[in-house]
Amino acid sequence: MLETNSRRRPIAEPGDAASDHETAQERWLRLAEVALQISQDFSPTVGLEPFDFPRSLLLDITGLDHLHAKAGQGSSAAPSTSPSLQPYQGQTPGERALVARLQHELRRQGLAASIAVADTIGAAWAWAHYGPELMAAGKPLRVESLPVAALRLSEEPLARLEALGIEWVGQLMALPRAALPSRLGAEVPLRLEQLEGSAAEVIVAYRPPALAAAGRLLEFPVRSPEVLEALLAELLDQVIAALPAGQGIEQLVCRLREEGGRWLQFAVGLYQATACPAHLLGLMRLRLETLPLAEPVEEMHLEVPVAGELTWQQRQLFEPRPDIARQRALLIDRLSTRLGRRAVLRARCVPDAQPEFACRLEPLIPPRLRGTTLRQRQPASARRRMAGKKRWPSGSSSHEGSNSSPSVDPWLRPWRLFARPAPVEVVSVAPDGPPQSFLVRSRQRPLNGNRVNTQTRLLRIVRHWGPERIETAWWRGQLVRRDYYRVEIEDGRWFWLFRDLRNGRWFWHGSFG
Amino acid sequence: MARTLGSGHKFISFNALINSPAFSARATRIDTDTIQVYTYRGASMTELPPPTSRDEILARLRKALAQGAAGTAETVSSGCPGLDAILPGGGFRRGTLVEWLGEPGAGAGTLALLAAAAACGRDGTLLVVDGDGTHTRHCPPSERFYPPAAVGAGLAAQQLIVVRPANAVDYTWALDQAMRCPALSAVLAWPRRLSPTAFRRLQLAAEGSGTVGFLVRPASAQPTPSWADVRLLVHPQPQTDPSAGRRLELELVRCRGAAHHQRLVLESDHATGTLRVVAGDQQSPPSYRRAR
Repeated sequence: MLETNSRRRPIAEPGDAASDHETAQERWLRLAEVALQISQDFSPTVGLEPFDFPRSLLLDITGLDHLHAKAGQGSSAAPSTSPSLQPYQGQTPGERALVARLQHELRRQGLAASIAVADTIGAAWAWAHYGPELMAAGKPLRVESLPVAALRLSEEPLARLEALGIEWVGQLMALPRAALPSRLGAEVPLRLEQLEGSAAEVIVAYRPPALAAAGRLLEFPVRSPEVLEALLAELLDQVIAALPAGQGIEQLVCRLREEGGRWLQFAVGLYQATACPAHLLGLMRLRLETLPLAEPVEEMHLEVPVAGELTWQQRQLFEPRPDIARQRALLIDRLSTRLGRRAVLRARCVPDAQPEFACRLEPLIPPRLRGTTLRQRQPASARRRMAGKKRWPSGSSSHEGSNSSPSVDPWLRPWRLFARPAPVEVVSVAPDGPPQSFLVRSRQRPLNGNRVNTQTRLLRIVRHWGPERIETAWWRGQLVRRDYYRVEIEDGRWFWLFRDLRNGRWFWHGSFG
Repeated sequence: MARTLGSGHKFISFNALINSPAFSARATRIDTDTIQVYTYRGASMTELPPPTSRDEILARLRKALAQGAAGTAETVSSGCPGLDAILPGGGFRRGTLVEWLGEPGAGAGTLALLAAAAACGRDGTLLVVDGDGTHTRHCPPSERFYPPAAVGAGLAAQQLIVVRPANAVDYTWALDQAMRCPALSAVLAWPRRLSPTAFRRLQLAAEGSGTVGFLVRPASAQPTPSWADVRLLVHPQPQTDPSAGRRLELELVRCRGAAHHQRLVLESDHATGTLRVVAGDQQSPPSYRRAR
């Protein structure tokens, strides 16, 4: 049963003179492109109407009207070129705003569309196709005034209805429902029920096909990993051959079906596009080792959702260190495949005063893009710009080691920081003054698994540099106010301590060298 | 002119080889299936007069031994001119492991970062394996690598790759893979526990790929056997003057081709952080000393 607050909305492209020259195939492709673009901005479920030559798109906008309500309130917010909307084009302000934006967007792409919003797919389709006719004829906008052709019937029932003299849906609804199947066939009552909402109908969302795919149904279920690898190698060769010229694989998805019907899936992401079967097979082998196969495998599929340009390099004859960039990319691929994408990171220094956040570590391999094809991926420069926009605003002035002017002093910052600053007890002469000595409780985690032993040592501080006051991060919630001291203790070792100015407690943040 | 051999062999021209600067600068031995060429510094063997005395024979043999021990690999600076002076070849050899021993806070890690920055130069890549190899998924390491220290040592942030393995098995695997990769200029890690087998495997991997591996280990690991080419023990020395920099005593515990247990005292400049030698029993590169 459909929910009462669900809406279906078909978009019909009227057959104007220019589009009549397109073949049905071209029209279908164009409709599919439009469906993909709409699915990114307006609704997650966009489907083509389930006919052989679809001309309409069906969108599910259940619960999405509140997203457009504020933007569309008032005529000043709506695009100036949109006409006033019909009563069947949305009942709440949010829906009407959504329809207006959709029309504006389609007009921007050069498409004229007829849009209708209704509770069921059948009703929305009927209003989208025949609503303007009714408006033009000045008839009342009720479901009963729609012609029977709005019921999406095939030719034979339509001919019979015409012969019987039934022209409007209202006349059909007045007939006893039980007598219809014998007179007119089963399709007519089904379409009537779909229009009213008593029969269920779903939208099949349109998913773009993968760029290259290969699959194999095995005659006998296979369990041994060597045979699986050999079969995957064959599929990989087919997939690589199916790629367009000059394109390499950037993401590879492998799906396996077990004998019991369970589907297992793993993906391999690459740092640089590659078409090298040996390297890809090595990465897939790393993943296959950790795959929990309970039963033998009956079916396997390989897909390439994302492809990229292959970079070609002329190799020299006597290169001392051949192909450094390529080897680096292969190493990153291998490490990311076995340890996980988030375990292989690159550093980016940001001008943030708080030491924990002064350097961001980001994965080298970008996250898997779902459901996009080659044309729709953003160029790398746009992705970098988008990633850069998430940076925090720059904090207070005391920051060193930022990317703008790298300081050359290696003893300014410790080379290892505690993940969480360790509290220590510090003895200082003045309450706000520098530290004189501090007490360290070291808990050595022994390698042989014995009980943890705790040692307490009092370390006397011989020299200190500081305080380096850092006041920042008010935008993250709580203001961080710390006085950092670089201290040298009596045996010459250097540590980084800070006093938290909010409560006067001392912490040990890191060690130098 | 060498004849062209089958696939897998190198095509070599004598003239091109002899005129290249790499060929004349150091001892080079090029070995193919049919060609063997030996050349010594500046002079070919036929130009030397025959040795007259037993001492001269011994001297020439020692010279050949030291130069053969120096190997054919190029050397990278250690980041500190004083240390370069006492190392054979003027620095660390590519394809070897260097071990820095020191307590936490003693300065071993930052010295290793300086050496790694020198090894990478402007274009090289440093890979840091984070963690000490004894943690698990449920017990993550308490100390993490802090990249701004590498930036302060002279590296650019783009030259860093940080790898964070989740458990001990992944740690050993990641370190092994990193050492095998010829595209990296340096690898930095601080494994708390390294079995002799794993150590030997790392050394072979580094030799095959030509990367320099910097391992920072606690001073308590000194008695354990090591496959590193160079072992340096770092002792910090306390000072009372706040305007002075940091004073470190470096002891060359073991180095292939140099006298052992040489000491060097370095002091960092307070303003710029560069290290200069204050005192130490420096000796010239011992080409004529017998390596132990």
